[in-house]
Amino acid sequence: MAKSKGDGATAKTRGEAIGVITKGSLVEGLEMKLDSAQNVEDMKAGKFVVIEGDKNDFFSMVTDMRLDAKNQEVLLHPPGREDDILRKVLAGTSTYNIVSLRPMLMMPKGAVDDDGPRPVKAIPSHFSEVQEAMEHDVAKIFGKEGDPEGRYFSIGNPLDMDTQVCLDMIRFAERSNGIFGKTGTGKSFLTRLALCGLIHYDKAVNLIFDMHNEYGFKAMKENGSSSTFVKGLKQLFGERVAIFSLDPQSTRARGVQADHEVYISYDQITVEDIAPLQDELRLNPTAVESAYLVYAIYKERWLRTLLALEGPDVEEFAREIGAHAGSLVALHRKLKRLENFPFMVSKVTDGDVVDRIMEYLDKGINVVLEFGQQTSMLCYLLVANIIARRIHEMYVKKSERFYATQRTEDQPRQLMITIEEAHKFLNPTAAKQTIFGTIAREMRKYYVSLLVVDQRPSSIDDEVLSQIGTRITALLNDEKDIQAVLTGVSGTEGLRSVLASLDSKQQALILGHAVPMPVVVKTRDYDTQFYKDMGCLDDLPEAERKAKIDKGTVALYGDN
Amino acid sequence: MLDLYAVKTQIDDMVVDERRVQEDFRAKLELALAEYRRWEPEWQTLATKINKSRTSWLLPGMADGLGGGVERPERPAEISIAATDGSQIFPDRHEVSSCFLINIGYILLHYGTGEKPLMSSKPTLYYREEEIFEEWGGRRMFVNRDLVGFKRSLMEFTELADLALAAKAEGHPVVALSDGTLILWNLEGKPQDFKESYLQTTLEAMDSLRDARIPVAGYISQPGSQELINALKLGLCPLEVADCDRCPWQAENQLGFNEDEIGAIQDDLWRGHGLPCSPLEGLNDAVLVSHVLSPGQRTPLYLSTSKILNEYGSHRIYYFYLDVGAEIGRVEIPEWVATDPELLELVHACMCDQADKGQGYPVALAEAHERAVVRGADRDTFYRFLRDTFVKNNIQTSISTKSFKKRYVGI
Amino acid sequence: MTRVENVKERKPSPLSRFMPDEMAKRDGAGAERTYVGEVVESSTTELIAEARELHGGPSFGEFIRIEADLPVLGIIFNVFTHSIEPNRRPTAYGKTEEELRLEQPQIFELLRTEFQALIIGYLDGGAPVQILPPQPARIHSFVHLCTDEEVRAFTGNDDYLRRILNTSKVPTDELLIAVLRHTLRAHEHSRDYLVRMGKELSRLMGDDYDRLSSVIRRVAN
Repeated sequence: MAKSKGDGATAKTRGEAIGVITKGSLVEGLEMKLDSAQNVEDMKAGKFVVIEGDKNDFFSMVTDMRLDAKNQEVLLHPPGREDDILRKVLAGTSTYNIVSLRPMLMMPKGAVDDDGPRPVKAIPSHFSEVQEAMEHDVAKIFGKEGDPEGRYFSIGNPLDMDTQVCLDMIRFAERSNGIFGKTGTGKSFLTRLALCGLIHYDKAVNLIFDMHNEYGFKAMKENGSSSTFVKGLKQLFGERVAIFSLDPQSTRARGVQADHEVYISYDQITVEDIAPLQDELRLNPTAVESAYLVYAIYKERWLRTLLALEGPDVEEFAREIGAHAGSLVALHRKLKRLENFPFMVSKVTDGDVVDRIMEYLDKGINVVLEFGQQTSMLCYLLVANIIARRIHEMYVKKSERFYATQRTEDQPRQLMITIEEAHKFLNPTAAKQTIFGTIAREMRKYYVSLLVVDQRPSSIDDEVLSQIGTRITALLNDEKDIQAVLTGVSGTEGLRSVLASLDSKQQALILGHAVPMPVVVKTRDYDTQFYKDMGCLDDLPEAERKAKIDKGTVALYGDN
Repeated sequence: MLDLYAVKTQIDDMVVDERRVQEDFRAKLELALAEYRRWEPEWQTLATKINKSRTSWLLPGMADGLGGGVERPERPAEISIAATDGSQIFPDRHEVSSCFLINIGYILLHYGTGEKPLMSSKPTLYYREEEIFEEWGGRRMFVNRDLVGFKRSLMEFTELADLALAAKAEGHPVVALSDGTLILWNLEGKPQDFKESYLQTTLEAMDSLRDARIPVAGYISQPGSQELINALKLGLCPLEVADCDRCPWQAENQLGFNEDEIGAIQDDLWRGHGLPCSPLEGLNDAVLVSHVLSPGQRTPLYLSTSKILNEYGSHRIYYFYLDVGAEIGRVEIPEWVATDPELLELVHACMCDQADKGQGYPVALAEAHERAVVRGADRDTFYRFLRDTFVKNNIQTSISTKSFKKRYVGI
Repeated sequence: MTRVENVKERKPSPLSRFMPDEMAKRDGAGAERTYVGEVVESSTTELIAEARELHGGPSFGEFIRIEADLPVLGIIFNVFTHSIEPNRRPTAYGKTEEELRLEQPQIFELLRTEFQALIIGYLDGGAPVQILPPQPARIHSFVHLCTDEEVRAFTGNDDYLRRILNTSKVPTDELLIAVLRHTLRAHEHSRDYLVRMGKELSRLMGDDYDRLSSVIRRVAN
């Protein structure tokens, strides 16, 4: 799996011994008696340790710790605050600390590179030594940025370690992924990080429904009381990112010229696009049925026709087409709201926006769709649905052609669609109606996957959740949310406590497809160094930058 | 079963008797004190009578009076006291060897300097033929207890002199204390050659002390001597010149008296008065002096008239009584100390001080005794060791004595 | 004391003939000797030694080394001063020691300071061995104080603590505290060392938390 850099590293050192294994089981995890010289406060949940067994090294995560005492007397008459020496003496003798460990991977000793970590099927013997994980241990498991394939993307450091934890970007792009965390824990930051990885290593092209205008250009960095701006994807990747805007005015107000303004004609909206809006529009099921009746007669012009009617005519219209008058009136009244959206036009002049998006995507240009001031959930749901559905249709066709021809040049680019507030699309009801539910369930059959960003994973349909390959989770408090995130992961007992004890900033638990084992990271800084690593050229001298851009453009668009 | 009633009557009787004895004694003492006071201003008259009279008892020579106390002088801040004492294991014919042992204890206490005192003892084993047989007065004799005692006393004194001299040589001002009398009256009646030899050794030691100007004093605790009482008895004698051999109050001496005289004397006797001198019978000097002196005071000097002193040459012995608080002690000094006021004062002061420190008995002498003493248990150990060593070396009576001696010393 | 020594260094002394043998000897060649005592009773597990000077014994809990082919190591668990004459007891004089030294010098000659040591091991070729020596220290051999270095070498591990705890001779805890304080000084008051020994004690004392905390507290302050 991961290739360790230089064989000498393994032989060189072992981490500091921090304790020995005293009991445990494969199912429930292991217990370590903490060495008395160690401070229990250093044993943070999520810390990464190596248990040196007789035949295997077990890579494990700290999941829990417990204070214990041999003698009740000590607890009844604890040493005073000033009895520093006595406290130290008691530490590890009369009073001691038990740390719960969850073995995540095991690796046979002296294994060669290819014979990498495997799932844990054994446990180490009594008194096996537990060591702090070293950089080479981590690298052995998570790989290291800078491999020739461009496979590994560093997302941060393990707790209290100064080494990289890498996502396997190929595996990451293969499946749908989730980024979870309660409000204010840095979901968008994590998302931006993941997107940067995908774009930088070119493992997938992205379509991002940027509800809060956080990804394209400049974004606020939440930094306590003061806020600073960080670079957006456009700034980092230039030509490889295009910004589409539903609200060009707003986009301009933020100092960006959108690459494309988005307008949607009524003819582009299908009943399937309306159906998932039931909640937002407070439609009843008969209203949707009525819509189908209208559609049956007027086909794609159904919405235009319906909206053209005025109040009293609707009832008559209902009678004409044999629909229930009451429902149709309600449907008509609710859908009237769509006319308020500035991007809704009766006829698009500048070509179909979805075609333009597809054009970009085909070229490998990532598309950020900004919503500007149109931050209503209704708008977001509607637009995301309409566009995603049509993009998906195109991908299905492309994929089928590829399966037919089996020519490499016909192979579609892997597409990842980023959606926020994902539970609105993927709750058990919506998941059956929206295109996103379909995408999530189809897996990668049609080269489309989702990057789901959400704060309430428990609201997402279980079936969808189970299809999510990699989960990057910031702090969650709600028991149901925690449960949801861990759905389909073995040995969740330990991870549960880890998850609940994450810092609210810059810490995340990563588990799933793109990492060999669950790991808590302190996320990578999104700073100048990162920009440079991502190939951002802003800081280079003018001429040099231009040269590089030209070169990049040629590479991107070919010679035509 | 004890008949307490019967005992009670007897105790009552005893108390009556005891009281009578005490009353009798008090009367005697009062008489003695009265006599003492009477003669005090006229001591020269008494002295003259003493010189002229011939008594059966020892009389004191008086040089500077009969009574009156001399106050305790101050002791010099820095002074060293040398003292010796001795004891012995007497030869025992029943033991494997007829050897004997003399153990001398040495004490040299330095006052006022903080200097470490010398406190030691040295045993000497006598076992050679010439050591256990001596020839005196033409008679070869096995060394008996008597002789060992003399030998020990002599060693005590010569060792004391040596110790004091060595201390003086090291720059210590020193006073030498001897336990007991300096008057070797018990040499009387010994073979002439023995007596001479003994005396000569003693006097040579005296000479060296005198030459080094080291005062030497003998201390007698609880002295039983009655010389002062004897002088007062002489004072009671109605005769102008007493001659006890011809005491008219003795029946056998009444031949030369006329009827009247004898009648008066016998009348006295009949009335229970006994001899004129007998009212003071039973008293001793210490009792008398204890009612005269206060603590620290000494009596005037008296000259001992012991016959042996005729052979002491310039070392004739003077003495005084000293109230050391706990008791009346008798201090004996040679003439060259008695006549040297500085040395005399030094002896007086040191004696008082020593007695103070020793709770009534001069501490140096007490310690010397502790060093010297050979207790019963020590004696038993000595003989057991002796026997063991003999057996171990397979010796009957003739011994490779050198190694034997060595091993003993090194325990 | 020193004053006495100074005076006695004069030689040859006319008084030497009267001195006790050992005193005369000490007067000469022994002047530079550094020993603190001489063994007068000895067994495998403990010994009694007479201090060279009155009140000059080692301190309670101190480490001593007894000269021998395999030097024996011990710790002082009792120091006592007593009259050398069984039938003479010291009595109160109501004077200061200085006054007594000037005016009652003999009493100090009648007192001896002796000390008892618990044998805790020996040196084999200079290396500490935490086992009772094969042969006890010999009578009359000299007793020296251990250097800090020797103490450090011997107390690197906890075996000596076990030896102390296993003795029933003395108030064990008091001895333990005294010894640890000496040891700690040799280890330059290292807190780490104290903590390490404390942990061993905790183990050796089993569940007796009260005892442990009392010992540690008193060693540490």
